[in-house]
Amino acid sequence: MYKYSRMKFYCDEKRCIDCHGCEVACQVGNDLPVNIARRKVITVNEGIEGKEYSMSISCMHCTDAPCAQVCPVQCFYIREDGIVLHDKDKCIGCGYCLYACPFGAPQFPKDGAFGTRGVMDKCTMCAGGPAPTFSEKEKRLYGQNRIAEGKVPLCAAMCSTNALIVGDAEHVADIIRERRMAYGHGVLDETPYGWDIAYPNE
Amino acid sequence: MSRLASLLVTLITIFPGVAYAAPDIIRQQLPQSIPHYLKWGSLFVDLQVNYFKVFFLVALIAIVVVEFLHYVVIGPKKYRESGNKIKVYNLFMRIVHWVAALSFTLLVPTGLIMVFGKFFGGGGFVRTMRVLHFVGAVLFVVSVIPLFFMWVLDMLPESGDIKWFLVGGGYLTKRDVETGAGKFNPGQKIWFWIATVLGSLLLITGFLMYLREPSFVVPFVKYQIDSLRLAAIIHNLTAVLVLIMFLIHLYMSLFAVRGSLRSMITGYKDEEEVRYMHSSFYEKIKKQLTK
Ligand code: SF4
Ligand code: SF4
Ligand code: SF4
Repeated sequence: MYKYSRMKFYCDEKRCIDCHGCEVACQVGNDLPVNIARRKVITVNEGIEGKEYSMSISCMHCTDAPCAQVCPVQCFYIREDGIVLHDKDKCIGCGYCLYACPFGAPQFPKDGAFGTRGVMDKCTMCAGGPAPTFSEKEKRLYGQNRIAEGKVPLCAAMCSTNALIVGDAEHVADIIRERRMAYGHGVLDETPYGWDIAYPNE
Repeated sequence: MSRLASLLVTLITIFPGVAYAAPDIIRQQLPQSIPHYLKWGSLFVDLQVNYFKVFFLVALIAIVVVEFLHYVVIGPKKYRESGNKIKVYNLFMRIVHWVAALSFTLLVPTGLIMVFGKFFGGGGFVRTMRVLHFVGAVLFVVSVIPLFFMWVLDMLPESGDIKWFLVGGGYLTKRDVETGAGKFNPGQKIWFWIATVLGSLLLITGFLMYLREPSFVVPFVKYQIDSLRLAAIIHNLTAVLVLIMFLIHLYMSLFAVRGSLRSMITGYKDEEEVRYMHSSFYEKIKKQLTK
């Protein structure tokens, strides 16, 4: 058990129909530039019958958040509910978080001086950032703050098959368990696709 | 082990009432989709979190302390001014050297500020350092090639080098000893090879990280991102070595050997310095002079 509840994503590979709707919802709803993909849908084992599945990945808000560990300017902070956020005013765009991340979640716009990469952008679980909640600055730098509004993040809210769910880890686990009882394992043979610790051996 | 885990999960799935905790279900599954993703990623995280900063800090402090002690205990080399000047560096060499020197002067502090970015609070200042680090790299690109070719022949090992090592380069005593070194002493040679070869390695890995979109994947890693992780690891480790050698070079030229800085500005060294510090080179040119 966690000491306190942690917000987690879960993508049910048995339900995901590879529609890329979550990507579009995130892109449009958060006013992201074209080359920033906070969420991506990937297809694994493409063409292998019975093994092929698609799933939606973004920042998985790791419990051990290796991105936060390696950041040289320590611009990350982890909210009490486990959402991993960062401060774009501090970030220097070095890219170390990207090297640490198992998912390639951190994204870098090409907008700095001399075409260099700008500061990092990633999924905020639609919880805004360190700028004042609902401020213009928060919206511009981090996108919507739907968590503060009491709404489900955009991507999960629009998922038509409810493959992508997000919420308190225990509730998410309840849903997974109910589904498992109804139709058994998904494509992955052992455990469902979820995420906790990035580098468990450290 | 994994069989046991799957059995457990099945049990938990069938009997939801049985001992069950959220982290057991929300956990580590991606390895099934991304085999080996852990390898380079966790190595990079481990090194960056636990070692790189320590390496840089220890190198920085240790070298500065040793240099300070050397200055206090043995002191700088001062040679009697004979007034006879020997030309050692032509104008081209001096210009190339100073462009390279400028690039290092930009690269080393900006790099260290990024390593210890937390100390400087990040933000605009450290971001500017990142840009200057790149400017320094561009200066290094244009100087490293002429630098390499203009001195490479003089930088090959010679028989006199052994004597230099045996007398500790002449730096460990206040007396003037003939070191046996040629035009460049082995210390300078080591610095030359580290600066050019490891410097180029830094350039390549740094440029990879700067682009952050390597269109090639290094053969023995599995994913594009792994080549970046590898680049970051190599860049940091190499930088520690280059930092050490740079600090030594800086100390030698600015403090330890009087006249050393002047020779790189004017191109001339005093005969007395050459006689001792570069004794085999002195023998050679003395023959030429007397001929
Ligand atoms: S390592 Fe990646 S997935 Fe995990 S919290 Fe950081 S950015 Fe998100
Ligand atoms: S890119 Fe920004 S957030 Fe990522 S490690 Fe570097 S400074 Fe930290
Ligand atoms: S939670 Fe929000 S920011 Fe994150 S992927 Fe979904 S829509 Fe994008």
